[in-house]
Amino acid sequence: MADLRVVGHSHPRVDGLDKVTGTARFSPDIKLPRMIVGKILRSPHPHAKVFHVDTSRAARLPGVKAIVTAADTPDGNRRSSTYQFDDQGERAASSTPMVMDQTVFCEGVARFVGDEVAAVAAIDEETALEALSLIKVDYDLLPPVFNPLKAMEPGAPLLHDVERNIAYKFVIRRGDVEEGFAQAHVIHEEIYTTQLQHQAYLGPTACVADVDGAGRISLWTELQSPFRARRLLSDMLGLPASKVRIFQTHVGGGFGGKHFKRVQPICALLALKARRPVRLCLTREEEFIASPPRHATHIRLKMGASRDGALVAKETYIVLNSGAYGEVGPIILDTMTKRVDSLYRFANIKTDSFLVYTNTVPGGAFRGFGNPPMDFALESHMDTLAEKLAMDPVELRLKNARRVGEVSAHGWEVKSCALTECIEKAAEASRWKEKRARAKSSRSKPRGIGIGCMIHVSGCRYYPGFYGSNAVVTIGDNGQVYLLSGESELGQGCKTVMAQIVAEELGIRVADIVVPDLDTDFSPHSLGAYADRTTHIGGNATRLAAIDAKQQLFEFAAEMLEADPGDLVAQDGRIFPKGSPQRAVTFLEVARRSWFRAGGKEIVGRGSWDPPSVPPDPESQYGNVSSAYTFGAQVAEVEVDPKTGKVTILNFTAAHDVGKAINPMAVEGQLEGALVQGAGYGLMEDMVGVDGRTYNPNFLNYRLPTMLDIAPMKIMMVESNDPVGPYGAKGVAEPALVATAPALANAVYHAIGVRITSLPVTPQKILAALRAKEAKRRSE
Amino acid sequence: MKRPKRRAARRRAVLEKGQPLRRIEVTINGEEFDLTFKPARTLLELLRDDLDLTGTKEGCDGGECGACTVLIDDEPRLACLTLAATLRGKKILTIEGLAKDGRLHPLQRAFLEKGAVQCGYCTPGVILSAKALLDSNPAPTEEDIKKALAGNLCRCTGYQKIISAVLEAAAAP
Ligand code: FES
Ligand code: FES
Repeated sequence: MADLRVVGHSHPRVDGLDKVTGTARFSPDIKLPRMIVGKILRSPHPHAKVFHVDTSRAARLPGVKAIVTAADTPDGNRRSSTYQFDDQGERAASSTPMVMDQTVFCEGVARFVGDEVAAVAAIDEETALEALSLIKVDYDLLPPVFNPLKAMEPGAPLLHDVERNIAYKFVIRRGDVEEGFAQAHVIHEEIYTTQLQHQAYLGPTACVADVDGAGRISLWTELQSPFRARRLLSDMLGLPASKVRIFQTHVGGGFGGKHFKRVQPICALLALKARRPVRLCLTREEEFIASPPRHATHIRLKMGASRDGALVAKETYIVLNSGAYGEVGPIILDTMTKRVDSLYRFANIKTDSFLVYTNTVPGGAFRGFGNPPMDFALESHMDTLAEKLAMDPVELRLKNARRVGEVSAHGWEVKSCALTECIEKAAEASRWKEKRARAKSSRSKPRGIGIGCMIHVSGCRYYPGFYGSNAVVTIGDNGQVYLLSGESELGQGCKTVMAQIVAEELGIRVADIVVPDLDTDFSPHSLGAYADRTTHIGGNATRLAAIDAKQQLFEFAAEMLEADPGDLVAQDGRIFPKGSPQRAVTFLEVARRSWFRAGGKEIVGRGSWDPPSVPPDPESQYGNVSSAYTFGAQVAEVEVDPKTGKVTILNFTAAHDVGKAINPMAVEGQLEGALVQGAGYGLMEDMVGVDGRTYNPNFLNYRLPTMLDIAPMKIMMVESNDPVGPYGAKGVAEPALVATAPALANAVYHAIGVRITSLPVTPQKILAALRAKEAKRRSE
Repeated sequence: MKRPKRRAARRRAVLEKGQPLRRIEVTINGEEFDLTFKPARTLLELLRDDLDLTGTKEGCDGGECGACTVLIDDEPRLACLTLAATLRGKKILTIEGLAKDGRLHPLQRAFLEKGAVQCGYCTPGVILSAKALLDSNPAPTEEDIKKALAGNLCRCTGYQKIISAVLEAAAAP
């Protein structure tokens, strides 16, 4: 792959011009003739019977065009956000079944503050809000439960019809942990907790729905998986899939938070009832209180290491606070339960993990998907073990690091892996040895340096059915090329990456390629943006589609060149027989010929690719779930003010095994963005809930990192050239956030000698820990 | 912790009851407008809903995110917190008015080339804040940029490439 001309070179975004000039339309920007405004009525109570919803007064308010409640939803509108099908498209009884616990509106019982009870569409926002205030709901308060550990106790109020509120659980046994601990030279046990973190994409979620005379419904909205949404919508609305069409607008950030939500079916129901286009846009407050954030977790971890640092046993107990509904909780729990076990060469593992309902906002997908909280626990633990062994934390990690060619305890086959290289590079570039040895007592604000490592997937298969991607590449009358992909552009840059792949294969410029917005009527089926699957899986499908188009085009070129089509090369806008560039015809000439000559045809290249991964066995949970695993190491240097507890990040060094960077500038952008999000997770972001109410549902009180909070970031892309990925590429967007919080917590420990075991690492927690340490020292 | 302030549309409807409509003349992106609207109309509503200039974004409607930043008489202002009625005779620049005759502003070009755009939702506001900075300080330091853009949240980029882009635009001939 030495002479790649487009792939591997930085390229500006193909949708960038639209975005810098203000013409890019996001879902809240869509406006249709006769469009009216939708608003949602939400439960003010964390747990209550919903006796009766009286909409009669609201209905009489002039300007109100539709009111919908649970009574307007078809029977059996239960759903889960997961998308797990067998080869007939039936819901698969896979390793992690869906939790089918959520309906369009809460039915009979409201389970969190924000649970959707009814919705109104009216001629303007004022009227819609007025109408909401006229809807009378009779609630009968039920005892709520907010703490998942309490929710598991006998006698706790039950949210759904499941024992001890346990929505899902895993029991994992590998090797023999007792035996492992018996061999250990050091053993450490600790409880870690992590908080709710909101995706806080800047663009709110909106949906515009319109119904035509034939009863066909079109939606303009922002989705990470439009095809999944079409399926769920048709299920929930009781309409055939042919009656649902989804247009993807520009997406104002996703990070896991723009999967199918109740917004879309509610908006559709309003439009169906009003027979007018309806726009439903969530306010920032609604985004915070009712869009699934990253779950809060409770982790008890016990690990043992031998004298030379080999990790000999790992025992984990996990409680994942699901909130009011299951959402994608089961597979997030799956990730927490198993993923880090393949980072190091663990053999003896015992894990019990639980997804537990409480009367709080349902948790959902967020960049890293269960990996960040568990990685925080594991990587914090690694440093404590290293200290107990009097070993350098880097050395301990190198000693246990996963290597290429290995099969992990859960059956993961590691075909490419540059973890060791990442650790070494990050350590070297951050001047680890020197800074680690530095005497820290001399400063009034001690400095510390810490490391975190991580593993992630490039797509993760949880069920036996299709997990792949389809793409279509067509060539137009003037040599312009259309790339249709079912994968979702969220801002991460997949349109550009896919266009680069097509340009590479067809020997043309990215500027010659049109990448239309996704439309479920025309775009080929793909699963969408999650689990870091887009570049790896969608990229492979796109590459195959481009190759297919190229082969068809070569048939026409061969006529012109009187050559064998199998012998042709496409490069720099020209097509020529291998070794004879002087005999070239232009891409344009051939394209025109295919389009215009008698007996010609429109070239339509097709590509389908389903990764060679297998779902975990439902019993043993063993199985090679991804076709490529990603690795990385991050080093953070911090300064801590012991008087105020304030942590200042001095710099980050991040080395990530990306397989192959198709668009290095975009990869760098993913890594930088994730580091800052990860720093937010590690140090500041926290949705504060009191009695089931979110007390900071706005950017004033839920603080995101600003430009003033960032520190220099040294990014290193390590290319392990994965044998399966397109040009060797693996996923990159999610991994970059996973190891950031533990790197920061470890740096704080190195600076001031207190270990904060609960995220975020706030000044209050640091001061309390310093005081406790001081008290202990005095009493000794 | 403070309870969030929310737009109380209903309260506003009550306040506006019986109040006369407001009428102003204002220049937006070089074009003169004579506009009539309800007294509590914000500039953001005026731009997005009445004039269909949707390039100005709404991220929070509470003055917390900077996505709605526009220039009023060359000063960066939050459109969601600005009452339209206060804009009599003012000159407003939104993202749609930045490129001149199809030629991108150096900031727009630099944002593209440096990869300072991902989802693009913050971009119009960030670019306008940066323009106000460069107009008053043509050779800003990194610290100047951070101070000037601290009110513009971006969830995607990690800010580093935005800083590089502003530096690049400042250096552009
Ligand atoms: S929308 Fe105006 S500051 Fe957020
Ligand atoms: S690019 Fe998405 S918020 Fe800035």
